[in-house]
Amino acid sequence: MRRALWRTVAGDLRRRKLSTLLLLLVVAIAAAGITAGLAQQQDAAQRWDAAFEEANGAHVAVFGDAATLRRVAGHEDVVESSGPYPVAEVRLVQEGGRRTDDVDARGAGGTRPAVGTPLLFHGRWLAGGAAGEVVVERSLALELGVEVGDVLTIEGHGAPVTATVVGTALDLLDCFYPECDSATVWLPEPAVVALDPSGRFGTSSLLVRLADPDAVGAFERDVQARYGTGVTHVLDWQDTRGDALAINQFFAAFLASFGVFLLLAAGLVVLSSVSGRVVARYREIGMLKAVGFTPRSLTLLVLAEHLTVAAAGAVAGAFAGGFLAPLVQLRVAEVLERGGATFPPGVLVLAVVVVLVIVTTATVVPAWRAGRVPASQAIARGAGPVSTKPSRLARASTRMHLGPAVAVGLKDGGARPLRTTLTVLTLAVTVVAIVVTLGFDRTVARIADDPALVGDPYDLVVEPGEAPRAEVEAALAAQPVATWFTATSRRGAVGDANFQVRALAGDVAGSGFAVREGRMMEGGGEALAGYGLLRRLGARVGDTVAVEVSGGRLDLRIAGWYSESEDSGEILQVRLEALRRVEPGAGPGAYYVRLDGGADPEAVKAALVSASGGRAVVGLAGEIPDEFDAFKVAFYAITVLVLAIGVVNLVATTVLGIRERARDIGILKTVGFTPRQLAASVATGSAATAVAAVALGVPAGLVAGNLMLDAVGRGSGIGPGFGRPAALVSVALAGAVIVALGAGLGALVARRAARAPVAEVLRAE
Amino acid sequence: MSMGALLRSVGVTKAYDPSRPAVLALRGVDLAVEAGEMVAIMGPSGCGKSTLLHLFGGLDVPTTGQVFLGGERVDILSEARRAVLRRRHVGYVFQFFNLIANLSVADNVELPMLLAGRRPEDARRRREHLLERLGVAAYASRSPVELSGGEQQRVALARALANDPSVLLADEPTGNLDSEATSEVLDLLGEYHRAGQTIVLVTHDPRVGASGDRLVMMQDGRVRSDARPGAFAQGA
Repeated sequence: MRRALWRTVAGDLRRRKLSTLLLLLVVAIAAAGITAGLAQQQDAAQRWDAAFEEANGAHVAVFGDAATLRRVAGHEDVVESSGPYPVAEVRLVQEGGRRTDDVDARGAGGTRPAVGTPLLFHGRWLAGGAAGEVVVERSLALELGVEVGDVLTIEGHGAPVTATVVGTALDLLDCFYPECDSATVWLPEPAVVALDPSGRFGTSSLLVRLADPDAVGAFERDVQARYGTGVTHVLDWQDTRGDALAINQFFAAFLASFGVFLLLAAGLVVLSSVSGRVVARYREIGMLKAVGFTPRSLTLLVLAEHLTVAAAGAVAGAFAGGFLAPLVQLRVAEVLERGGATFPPGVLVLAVVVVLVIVTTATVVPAWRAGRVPASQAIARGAGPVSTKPSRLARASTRMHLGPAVAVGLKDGGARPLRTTLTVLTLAVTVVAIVVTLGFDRTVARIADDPALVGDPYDLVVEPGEAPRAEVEAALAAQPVATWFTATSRRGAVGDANFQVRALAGDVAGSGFAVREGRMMEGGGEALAGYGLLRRLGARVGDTVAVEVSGGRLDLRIAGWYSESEDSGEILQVRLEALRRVEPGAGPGAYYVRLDGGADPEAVKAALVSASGGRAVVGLAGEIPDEFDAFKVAFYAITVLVLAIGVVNLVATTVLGIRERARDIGILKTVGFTPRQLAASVATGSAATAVAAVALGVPAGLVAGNLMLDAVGRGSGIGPGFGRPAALVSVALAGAVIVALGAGLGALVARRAARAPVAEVLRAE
Repeated sequence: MSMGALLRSVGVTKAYDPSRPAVLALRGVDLAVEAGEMVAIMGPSGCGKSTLLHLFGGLDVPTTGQVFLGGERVDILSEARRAVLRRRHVGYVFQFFNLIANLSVADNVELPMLLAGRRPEDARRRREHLLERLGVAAYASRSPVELSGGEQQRVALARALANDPSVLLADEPTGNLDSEATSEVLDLLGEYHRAGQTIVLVTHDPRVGASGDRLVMMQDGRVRSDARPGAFAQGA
């Protein structure tokens, strides 16, 4: 029996090459998509953790003056430390004159620090004390395209230094450039000192490991309370890890939910393709029963046949996806990538299993139906009558004088309602994916236009440094500045939750943060929460929270929440007067400046620097992270895959339909259909399918897109409700393209069929 | 052979398989059918009789030779031109009825008329008339597969006659019917023939063969005999 089964399977697969190929292709595409997605999701976090482990990563990096830092190193919670190392603010000039934004130049010796060890990617570490050598941080090197052997000019506040790049190394102190702008290079300590001879623009850094890595929050607050202004700021590993991986995680989650479309489309295609094959073989199934196949063995036959094909497709697709994954990987994964692309076998197995489960699910029903085929009827009549209910659409088209070709084409669509429904649904999934992608695209454009949505409602940041604040403010008044506020940051906590507390002064009301619910905080008793913090605390607008900050406790009423992507939106904004209730000496911090429309930030920046006599440090607001571009690439890639599946399926369904109706086509020719009319008739049918898919897919896509963007908003700290639906024009255009594609492909397939000779099909029953 | 013949084949050969040109379904057939004739073509399976019928109706073209329909040479026309010619001048009836299963009986009959450019109302009226006359008016909104063989063949006949064709080509029109239905269909064909309809039919059944006023016997792709069985009786 088993041999009979397999022989039948093999024979059938050989004979039905086209539908076998379709099944193989669809399954492979789905498996490739899933593998790439899963590989992405697992990769970055694992790599970060492995790198942190290998680097003996610093739990906290403390910045401040060297003397204070030496005392911090003796703190009772510290088990191991490296530093303090001098840090100078510098700019790099590449060969060819390209100049970077501010970069931290960290001093280092001939051996790498024992805590937070930079992990070498290329080249080697600084030779002991050798001047003229520099090691560049990996993400910065990637961004600038710097390689070992390049020569960089390093400009600081002293004489410029020329150095040869001897290595690139991964550093986990902060998330990666350019998402986090503290890009790093390592220079011999004397060189760093020479770049900032006055020591006014620099600071020192201390890397520490704690007894309890999870107690960073308490440690930070204790250090700030104990050492006051001697410690300027701290970075902890939990924040850094979260920041580095945040985008990756949303990306992966969003991608995964987007990948569901791919699976859905694949499942529908498999279902309709298997059903179609069973119908096409109806008579043959009757005959197999006649030679002694039982219903069970027939069901097994159909299952075995399709699972064989699906398994081959899934394995091939999973491997292809494994190879493709590095091409669509995010920067964070790229930065962390050491020793080439990984090929996680677990992911491959998982992808294959997922795809096979879907194929099995989609095959069971048609396979069961195959087993239940009544033998005598199948042999005598074939697949039996199709639906002959008068089609209203066809009637209407006759009445509208659209011609018999259109009427027959529309009628054909109703002949096999299940198959038509599945084809429509598959194509509708494609339309949903397209609409979601278009909406995402538009939303990204909106964010780029409105930096307030990511919590950056300003163009310039001015650190006064040694410049008197009155002078800086006078300089600002002389420039095309719309408004400014100041902000200084502390670490705060509510219970176990640690977060950044930002104290604002100046034009707080006009600061331009995107307050999405409630209002901007007023007075010293109120706060404005980033969406991420609101969620983390489980708080609502109007609640009062007790915040530990600067060694004291503030009871603050949450006046509203705003969109903020920094720290995933886990930021609490208060007025400076609130912070001064617990820290009376707290200074206002840096100026955040929004310019008049049309003003050139670079020009204003230059003017402000020169007005302060070079004492103020002026930075431009960060760009929208490139990660959104990576998002886009992945979206478009999946959309193209889903579109490919939808279109291939439409063609396959049309081909199958034409084959089944070879006889009808013959008859139509005898009554006088020209080849062109036949093509038009088939094109009408497939265009109608596409129209139905568009009608179904567009509203579903708008709803799905909104839900998905809200999920991204929740996760990223931007908050829900920031998404924009796809523009009407682009949706209409996409719909028109799909309908035209459907009609065109239908006509193309039909032209071939129309040329087949009629004589034989009409003679044989 | 009259030059005014409605249908005419001249030295027609047909090879179905281009890679085996020596295997011919037709090996040089010369046949003319006058307007108003009812010609029956008989012969064993594979003798080429159905092939000849398809060539007459322009469903296929000969490998060599010429085919004329109403004085116009058919074999050199494009497929689209042949389709247009067929709409106006040819009605086909087949052994297996060949009705389109997913169109209703009414749609099946109206289709050729709509193709020929008739207005839908006219097509409906003519369809009602034909179905009435052929005794199947009650089934207009049914699917063809719900009808018996005899009923289906009447519908097929209605469809074939819809455009008042110059010639009705029937390929084993009773081959799938019981004897009662066969009689009915033959009576109908005879009725239309007496009204002036030109009919060419292909058959295995001697009874059907005898119903025409001319009997052509074919064998191995050639015409073996061409006689008028009723000629003696009528001429005597």
